[in-house]
Amino acid sequence: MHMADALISPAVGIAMWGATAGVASYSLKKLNIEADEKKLPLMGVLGAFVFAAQMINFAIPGTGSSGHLGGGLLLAALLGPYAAFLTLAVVLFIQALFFADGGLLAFGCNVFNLGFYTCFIAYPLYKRLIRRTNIWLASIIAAVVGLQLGAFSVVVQTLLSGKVELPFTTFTLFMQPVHLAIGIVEGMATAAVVSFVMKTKPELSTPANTPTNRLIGTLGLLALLIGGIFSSVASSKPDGLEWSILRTAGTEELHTTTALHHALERLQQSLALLPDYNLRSGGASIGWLDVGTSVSGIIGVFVVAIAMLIPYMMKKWRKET
Amino acid sequence: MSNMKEQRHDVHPLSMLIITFTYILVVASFHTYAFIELIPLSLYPIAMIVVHRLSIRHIKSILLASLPFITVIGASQLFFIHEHISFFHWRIEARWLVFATLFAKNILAVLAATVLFLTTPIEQLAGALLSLRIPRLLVIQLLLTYRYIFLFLEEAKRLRQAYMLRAPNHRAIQLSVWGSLVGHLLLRTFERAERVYEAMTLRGFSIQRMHIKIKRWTMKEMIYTYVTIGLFIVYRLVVI
Repeated sequence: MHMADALISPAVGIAMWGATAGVASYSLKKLNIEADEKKLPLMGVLGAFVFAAQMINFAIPGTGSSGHLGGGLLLAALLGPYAAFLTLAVVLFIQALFFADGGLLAFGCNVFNLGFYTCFIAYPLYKRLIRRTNIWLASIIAAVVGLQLGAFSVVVQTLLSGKVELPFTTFTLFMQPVHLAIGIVEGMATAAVVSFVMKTKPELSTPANTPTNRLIGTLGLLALLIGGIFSSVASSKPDGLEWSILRTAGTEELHTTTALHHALERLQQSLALLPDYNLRSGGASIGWLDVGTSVSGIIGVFVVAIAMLIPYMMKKWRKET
Repeated sequence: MSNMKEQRHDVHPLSMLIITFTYILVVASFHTYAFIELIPLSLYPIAMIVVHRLSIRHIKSILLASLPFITVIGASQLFFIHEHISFFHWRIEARWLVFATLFAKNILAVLAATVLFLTTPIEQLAGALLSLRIPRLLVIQLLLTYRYIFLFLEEAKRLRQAYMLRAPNHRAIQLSVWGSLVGHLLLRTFERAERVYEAMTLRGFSIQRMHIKIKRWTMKEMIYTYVTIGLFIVYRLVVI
């Protein structure tokens, strides 16, 4: 699921770098490493452990194939979500730089797709499930949820970048089932290791702090629903500024004249994240649902939500300390 | 690897980081048919490889590792694009041009990242990241993880080999055994972390006091950086 630089537009790459930096700085604050300095070498060696464990393949029961550990959920189960997110970010940085696995510009996308969903959505789910069911089911469900969200994110980021022509529906229908299978394998691998650790050293598998995210989760889902579905129904009339230009200049968009204007305009077009709030390849629609606008809506919600949550969380952190 | 190169060719790590990132940004910003426009951009990695006398064999192996993924995505384009476009005076199928552009972009981006990693030792890179105000904790994390990766890779290789020697007919390790096998590797990892921490504390380690050398950014290096990224940006603005 590591994205390459060739698939990303600069705007999507930089936006995701920003989102990742936000989550990382929140995790750093929350982790408060000065109080628990011992965690530092543990994070370092566990990051290296993820690399090593990925080399050891296991046979997938019932099939002829083999799989390996991804590591996101396992790190969260052993370190807690904040330390796990930071460890994964470092692992992905090393992969991008030294192994050409995922690009430098796509680094933000990769950390978000592989780290954010596993640590902050799949892991809390895992914690909740493990109280009611056994560890195998809990980790398979959590890994599947984490990977499905990550895979969908890959689809959205690729389409928003507009660097390849992939129909939204086809791409989604390809990515989601593939990652369903990978999720099940990841869940089994995580459960196998965690249950071994629980048996031999039970004190290691219960990290202290977990995020309380019921409210954030509900609000997030609601916002996604509104952004994704209702935005496509929303009015396509020109917005305030365009309307006023129409009134004053008699045309919706001002015509640019000089060569520099043209050059800058074309540059802006090629860099634009959501030109006119729609996908560049555009056009796809399922019934009344305009896919381009929906995806733009969902991305918009993500960006705004992240921007809004960071100051709030920092304030909360300051109160706690 | 990167420590082996000759000192006189050193470019400041911060310059390398900024130049590489700008370069990848410029490469990524070209549109899907811009194959010809990308060709002059290959001058930068080629120049770096020649000047720094980097190992072509090593670069080739990294490049090859990055190709399968992009090939799959590129190949998918052959099914989805059916238009024809004019390329100089010929009328060609657009899908092949998109495929070639994707491939070229991938090669250029991977080459740039590889040049960065081969010319800049990790300790110097850490210093550059610190001067970019990346939190100290993350930088120390990077150094620690990088330090232990190669150690653990050896250990994992030995583990796998030991299993394969005892069970020669298995293509992969049975899941029931795999759990305890990797679990043991994990427990060893924990113990090592404990020992590392104790050794660090005994030597008076603290996050704030850990010394990471930050090289000074001289005027010459600053000019070199600005001129290089300036050239990339001007090229991007001229060729649209």
